[in-house]
Amino acid sequence: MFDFKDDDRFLARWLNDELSDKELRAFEASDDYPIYKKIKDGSEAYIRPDFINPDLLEQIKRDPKELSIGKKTTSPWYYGIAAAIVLLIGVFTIYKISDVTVAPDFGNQASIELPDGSTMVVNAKSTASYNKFFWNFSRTVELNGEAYFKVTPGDKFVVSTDAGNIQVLGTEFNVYSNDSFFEVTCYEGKVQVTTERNENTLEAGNAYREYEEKSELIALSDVQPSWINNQSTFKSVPIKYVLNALENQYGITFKGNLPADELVFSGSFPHNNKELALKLVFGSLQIDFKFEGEKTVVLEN
Amino acid sequence: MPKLLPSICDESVFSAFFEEHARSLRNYLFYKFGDEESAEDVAQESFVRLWNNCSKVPFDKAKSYVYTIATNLSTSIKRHEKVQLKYQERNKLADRSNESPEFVLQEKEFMEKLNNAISKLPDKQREAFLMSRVEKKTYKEIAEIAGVSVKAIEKLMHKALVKMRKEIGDV
Repeated sequence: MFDFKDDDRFLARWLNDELSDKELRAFEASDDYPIYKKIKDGSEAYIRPDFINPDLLEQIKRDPKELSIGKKTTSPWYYGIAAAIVLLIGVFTIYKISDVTVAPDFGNQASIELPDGSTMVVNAKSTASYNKFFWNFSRTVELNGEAYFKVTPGDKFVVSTDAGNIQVLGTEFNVYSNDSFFEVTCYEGKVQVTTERNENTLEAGNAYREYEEKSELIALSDVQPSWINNQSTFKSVPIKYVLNALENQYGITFKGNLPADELVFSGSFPHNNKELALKLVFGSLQIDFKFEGEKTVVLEN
Repeated sequence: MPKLLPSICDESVFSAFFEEHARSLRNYLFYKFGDEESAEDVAQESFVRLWNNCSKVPFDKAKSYVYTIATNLSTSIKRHEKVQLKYQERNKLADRSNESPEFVLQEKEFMEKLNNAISKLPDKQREAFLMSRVEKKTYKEIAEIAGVSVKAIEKLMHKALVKMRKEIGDV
């Protein structure tokens, strides 16, 4: 067997003629090479399949509504509406009284056990809500901010945020959704993340992130999000989201010369030592800061 | 002044867009579930939705729009056992016309093994492999369609080849 030496993209590069001469010679000399070469040439010989129905475009343009799959036939709908209104009022009342909202303030976290034994830890200045009554029908948590989930296996479990939905069966994962920054990290099992832009299945050790125009997949080695252990950790995150996290954690505000948006930060800060946290973040970026009273921090570049 | 993009509602723009992307989309779906008819239905439905919503979809988002619709629609469709592909027989190629009948037979056997190995690939690997090899899409294009990084596609390609090599065994 040819040794790819932990290069898990070697063959992809080979197909693209991107190997170095040395790599190529070594590979060509191996016993495996002739078969790989046959797979390469063989797959080249495939004929690109074409439409069975060549008039598709004309049909779509001619009568798009007629073609739609899954269209419904009309039926006496007014009876249905009357019944639905009565039902809705009842359901709405039950829904309202069994709604649970968790919103820890600056510097706090809240650990909640959900009706099925799943747990969620909600971070500072975040809001999570779910419905006790409907939990058995739909395991859904609405989230704005950050929370970590440990889901008991069962029916699908959905975390719904402004930026997108995360769907799992039973696993451990973290969600951060605030303003324009959205990040989902999977620590165990698999989660499915659906946003307006993308649909991704994350495996353990991977995170998916969206902010501004970017969306990226990153690999992580942590076993739990660091904020659970009273730390916040960032990996190449634009500085304004780090400042936002500091503000939420310590209830402070920043003013003065705010750093440029392009600046990214990688590192951690503790949740129990304000001075140290600020030193760690701004020290590494060579930004000076001073306090103006208890709650305001002035930045100088 | 910002540059004005063409509108998908413009019939000629829509037709050109269809010509450019429909076959790839349809084949992507075919590689997904190995059934040409379902692939065609879903591709058709995706373009119908684009056409019906043409005023809401900016031109530069249209491609990802149809792929997203198609991916979402296809979650309910069950995968067929085999992705049966036709191939160009080598002896018909001009430069290979002198091959012996034995050679041609061997090639045929190999292509059957290859087809079989492709069918046995995990879904994501098969999709990436066929999009790259048959559709001639770049890794970057495949990554955009699948919504993952180029690196992830390269890893899938590598894994797919290793797996196929194992499946085919020694010839």
